[in-house]
Amino acid sequence: MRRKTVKALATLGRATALTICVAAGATALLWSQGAAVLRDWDRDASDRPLSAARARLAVAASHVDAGARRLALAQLHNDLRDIRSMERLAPVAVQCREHLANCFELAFDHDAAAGLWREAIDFDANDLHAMARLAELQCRRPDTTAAGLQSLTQLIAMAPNAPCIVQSLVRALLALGRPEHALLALQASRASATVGTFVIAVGGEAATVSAMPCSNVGTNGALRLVFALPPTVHSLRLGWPVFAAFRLQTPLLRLSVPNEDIVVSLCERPGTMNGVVVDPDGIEALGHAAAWLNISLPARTDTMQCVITAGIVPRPSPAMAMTALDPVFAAWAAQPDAAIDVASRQQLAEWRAAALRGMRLGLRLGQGDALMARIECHPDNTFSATWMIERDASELQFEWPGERACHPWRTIELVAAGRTVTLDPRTVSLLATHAVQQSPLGLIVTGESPSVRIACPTGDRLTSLTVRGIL
Amino acid sequence: MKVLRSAWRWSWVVTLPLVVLFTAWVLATGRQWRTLVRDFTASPLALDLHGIGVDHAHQAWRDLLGRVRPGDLSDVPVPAQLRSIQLFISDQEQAKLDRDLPYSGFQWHKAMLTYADGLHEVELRYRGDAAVHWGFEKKSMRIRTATTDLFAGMRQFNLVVPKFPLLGDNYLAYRLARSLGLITPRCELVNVFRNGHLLGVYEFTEQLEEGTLRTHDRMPGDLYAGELQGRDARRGTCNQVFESPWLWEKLAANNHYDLESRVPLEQLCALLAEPQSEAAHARLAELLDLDVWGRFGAFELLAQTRAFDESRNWRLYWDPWRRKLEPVVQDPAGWSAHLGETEVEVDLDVAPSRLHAWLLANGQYLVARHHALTEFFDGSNEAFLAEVETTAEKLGYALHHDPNLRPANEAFVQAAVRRLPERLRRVLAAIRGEHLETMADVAWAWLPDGVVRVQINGRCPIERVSLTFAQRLASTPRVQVSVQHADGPHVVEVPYPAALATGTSLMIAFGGCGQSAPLWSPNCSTGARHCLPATFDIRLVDWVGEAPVAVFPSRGRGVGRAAQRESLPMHVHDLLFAAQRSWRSLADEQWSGEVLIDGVRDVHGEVEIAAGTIVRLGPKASLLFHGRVTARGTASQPIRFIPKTKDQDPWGTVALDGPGCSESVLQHCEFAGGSGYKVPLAEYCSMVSLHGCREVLVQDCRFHENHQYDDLVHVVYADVVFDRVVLAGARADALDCDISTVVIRDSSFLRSANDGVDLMTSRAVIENCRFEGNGDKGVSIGEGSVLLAVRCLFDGCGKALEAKDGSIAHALHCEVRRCGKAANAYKKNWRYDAGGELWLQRCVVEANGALPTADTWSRVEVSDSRVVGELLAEYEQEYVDGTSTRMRNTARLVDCDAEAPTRRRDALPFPAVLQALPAGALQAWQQTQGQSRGVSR
Repeated sequence: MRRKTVKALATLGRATALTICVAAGATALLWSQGAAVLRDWDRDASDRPLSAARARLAVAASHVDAGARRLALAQLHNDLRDIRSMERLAPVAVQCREHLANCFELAFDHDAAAGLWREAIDFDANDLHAMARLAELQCRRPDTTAAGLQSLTQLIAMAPNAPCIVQSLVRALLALGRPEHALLALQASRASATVGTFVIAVGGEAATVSAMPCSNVGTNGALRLVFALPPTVHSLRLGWPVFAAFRLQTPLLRLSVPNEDIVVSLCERPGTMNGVVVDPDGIEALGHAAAWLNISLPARTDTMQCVITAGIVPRPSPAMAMTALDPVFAAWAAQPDAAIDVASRQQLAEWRAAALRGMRLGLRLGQGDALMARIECHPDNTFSATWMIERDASELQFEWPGERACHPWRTIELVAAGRTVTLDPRTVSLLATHAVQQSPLGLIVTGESPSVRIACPTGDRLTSLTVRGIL
Repeated sequence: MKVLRSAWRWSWVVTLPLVVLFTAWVLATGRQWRTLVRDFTASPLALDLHGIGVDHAHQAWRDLLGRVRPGDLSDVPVPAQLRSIQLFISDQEQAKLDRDLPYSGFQWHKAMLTYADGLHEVELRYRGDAAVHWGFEKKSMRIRTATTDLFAGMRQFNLVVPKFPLLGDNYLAYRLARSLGLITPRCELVNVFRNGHLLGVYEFTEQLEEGTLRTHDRMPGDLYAGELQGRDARRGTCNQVFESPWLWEKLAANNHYDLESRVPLEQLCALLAEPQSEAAHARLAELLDLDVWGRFGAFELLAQTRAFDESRNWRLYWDPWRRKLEPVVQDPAGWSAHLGETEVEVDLDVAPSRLHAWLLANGQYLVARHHALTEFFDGSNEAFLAEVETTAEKLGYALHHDPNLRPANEAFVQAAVRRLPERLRRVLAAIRGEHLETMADVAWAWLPDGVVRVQINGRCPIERVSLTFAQRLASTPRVQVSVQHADGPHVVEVPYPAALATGTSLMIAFGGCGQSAPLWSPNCSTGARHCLPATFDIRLVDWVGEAPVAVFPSRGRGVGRAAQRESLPMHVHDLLFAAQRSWRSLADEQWSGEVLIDGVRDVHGEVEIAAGTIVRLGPKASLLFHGRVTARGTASQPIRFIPKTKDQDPWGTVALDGPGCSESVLQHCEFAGGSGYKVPLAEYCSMVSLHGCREVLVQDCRFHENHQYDDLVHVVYADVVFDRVVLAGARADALDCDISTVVIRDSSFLRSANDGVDLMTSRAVIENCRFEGNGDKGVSIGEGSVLLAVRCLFDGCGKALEAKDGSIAHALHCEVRRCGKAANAYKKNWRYDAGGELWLQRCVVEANGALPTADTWSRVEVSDSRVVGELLAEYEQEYVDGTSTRMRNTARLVDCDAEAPTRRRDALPFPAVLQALPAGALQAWQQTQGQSRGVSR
């Protein structure tokens, strides 16, 4: 090598070393002075893969078309195949696999779904949800039915009122044509719902880290929670026992500070809530894992002694009641009185009411958005949903949420110009249908995005439409 | 210019090292950031790029200093040195461990560990899913030995990276827990070396298993682990341990029940799901040993630990014989909030789980916790603080040499070490002040109808009140204490002598506490509480006298005078149950004539059984005494416990059950035709069961003809003297002693199908007894037992004596004849480090199938004895699983021959190991020594 070249290289080396030293100095300066800037960059950089994966999952799962959804989820699942259980992206990988398995199950590709559930168990040996779903699929194959049922029984012992496990067991028993056992499984979950420990929390989003267990001291079917709050607190979060399903009747909060007692109804001006439904006279927990209600408090300057009282009325859990709409249950309930005892019939009606109560049905009269109506359940074991319309209509399209259910509709009442026309949805001629079959039991939804379209027979401006059915 | 040129030319001398250092720093920081921040969650460590960079800079500086600064661990003064653990692992195995962290770390790999006698093969893996355990150079490890090669008596132990600056958070908390009498794993701070290179300071911690229970003198029972965090979380459930017993794992199981059984936990979980009430708290007291839970509560307070919450760190031991659940301390992370740079408030209550919410509403628990705190501050407080100071000093030295300190800023860590004693002193002082020394309000008011209303506020419970009257009390009035719950009043009768009039005072045993409500605070995982008053009405039934002139509550460390008020409101007890002890009817019962028992009968009061009484028990009938029994029969009029009818199915058990039966006496009693009694939460495996009672005397009694269950008599956690008893024809063992102390004199053990006496972790003195025709051993000495047998005759037994598993037996002036084998010692249970030791002195050993044998781990020595026959050089050692191994016989004969007189005439020294035996042992040893070998003097 020529001397000149060596010299040039040496100079370049020196310059590079010096540059790196300058960079080191700048880094040292940044580290000592610009910690905040560094932390912002750090947070962005470390969270980016997670937020990107979450966004991809949300997009993939929201495809309306089942095929496109399955394809997008499979792509994401493939991209996340190297992620393992202890990594930050693990929750996204788990959710993606779960969505994809659901897609396969809906398409009746049980082998593919079972493969994914097995993969989920390999991924996390403590994934009871995946175990339950796999066992449910095993129950559908004659050669693995016994193993599946045994597995589900063990899982139920571990988590007797966890909705995902109870629903798997109920669906498995229904698939095996054992509705009476399935109803017993539902009822057992109801018996194991507890009212022992609530959680009191303060602090909005941080509530989970600043929550305290509060034990019920009420007896004879009553709730009585006693606790104290410092004066700086202006709202509290009441958390229900996990997977609890019951109604709090006339819930009151009594706040005692020196020389003053304030009584607040928890049903009046309720704050934000999750997993509970509030009506003027009570609050119903729906059986979700994290049910809570935020309650505003009057400002005080002393420590507040608080007592929450209510009556407790056990209810079937809506979180696991969808299985009560299964066509097998419907067929069982349609048997003559001699074949099914009154108590079972009533229990099933309560579960079906829990599934249907509040369900939003869609009615499309042409182009444009669907009109929505809520189902209401009545004490005589019937239900109804009413749309107030005031529009001309030639065709009526009904849309349901959810999949695989028997909607025990009996009549569709149309009111137009003071005249009522009643149709039987089980026999009326259908103009079009998607994933819905007519049956003597009602309308059976067999897949995703179910809908039926019928001709509107009134000919006049439609005033209202009411769907009625039996529980 | 020339200078500049020269500087430029030689600039590489400065810049090159800087470039190397900076590049290394960038690479290390980037790699760790990617692993612990971007790809994994480092929780609970709050790591970020800035912190990692700073830490690596400190680490680089320490490395640099380490290279130029002389000195190593040998410079540390000997008293301040930590023990060292030397591990050796091949590069290949190490590479496998580190190949794919954290996942690859959970596989076992071969390694070597230095024992006292050299290197032994072990298995090693990493442990812990938090990044602190696997994300840095120093990693937490678990070591597993072979069952035949325990390390310090342990099959598995952990080397855990301490989480600084909490420094030794677990070690000191374990020490505190142990001083409070709680079950804890063994823990020690150690220096760990890998392949000769120091890795740094670790917490050496025993892996909890059945051996831990044995170490703490607990019978083998179920050990449950409630751990639902991190990798243990169960997806699809709520991950709260008290929601379902099936979310718990069993670390040890009582093999008398289905190994998967979780009945105690099922009951606990079901109970905690109920609303609180007096009835529910009564059941809680039956299920939990509230005295132990009180100590656990004191520990949580003193250690300021919130580690036992809704989802983690629970270890519960079910003692099948006491029938109580007991907490085991695991991973307590003590004082974690108090060891940072800034001081934080001391938590005066700790209640991070629903079980705590229940316990803090239980008066008996609060009293037990108060007692534990009082005992701690009266006894071990200063010793503990001294240990903290010693530990801080040791750590100071050890950390200085720790090459993998984290955080690497040594000054920061050393400062935390230095402030440790002071911080802990402050914490303990605050707890002491609030729980023992703060005399909060106690007030009283006189109400019509003879009611003294007492109002209590604060954390310090009251155990007695004294009502002082102006005039002398002629007699003790009937006393009731009532409280008001939301669903109505709860009234408890306080019987004599719990209520006792002396002079002008009426002393009432009175369990009173203030109430406390959960108080939300920003950091309320601690379980802060808001004190509320509690009101107790002490009713003097049919009282016609004047009001008391003063009321003196006995509270904490002294007696104060309660303030008198005109009136006091009645506070509803929402958050206080079982405050007043529920006094059972303790009326004495006197039995005579014929007493018929059918079914299972619990007798809570004291019972006196007259001579000549016949207790006839129906099929499966059992008698469970919970109070003192005095059964004094005579030779001519014995007391008999026999079947109700001839040819009936056997009756169950007669049990002296619990400490209430202490000082019971059974004289001239006969027990025949019984079996045992077993229900899901209780087991009595013998015809006569003596459980948990002290100073029991069994004299001139006869036990025979038992059925179905194993033993004639079973003694557990008890202290019993047997005098002149005969136990004959046992279905298995005649007398089975577990974790007990027994003295047996002048008794006979005849024709048992199994052992005459079976000892497990017991201390026994057996004097002048006969063991004849016992199918297996005359006396079996197992699992850490100590025995002195003097002047006993063993005739026709399978083996006269057998010592196992760390047991030691001395037999003096005994005779062993016509037995299958004279004696044996071996290692049976791998949980014990050693086999048995048997010392036969001045004995006669003749006409036996074989002379004594001992395996490699055991010792048998027959000395100065008359021995006929030859020792076997080798023998077949049989094991319980039916296998056998050919062993070299290590038994020895010393000064033995076929003569009758002893060779040595001087008194034998009393072995030090026998000093653990009851007082009569020394006397028996001294009186027994004669000039002839064998039982005759």
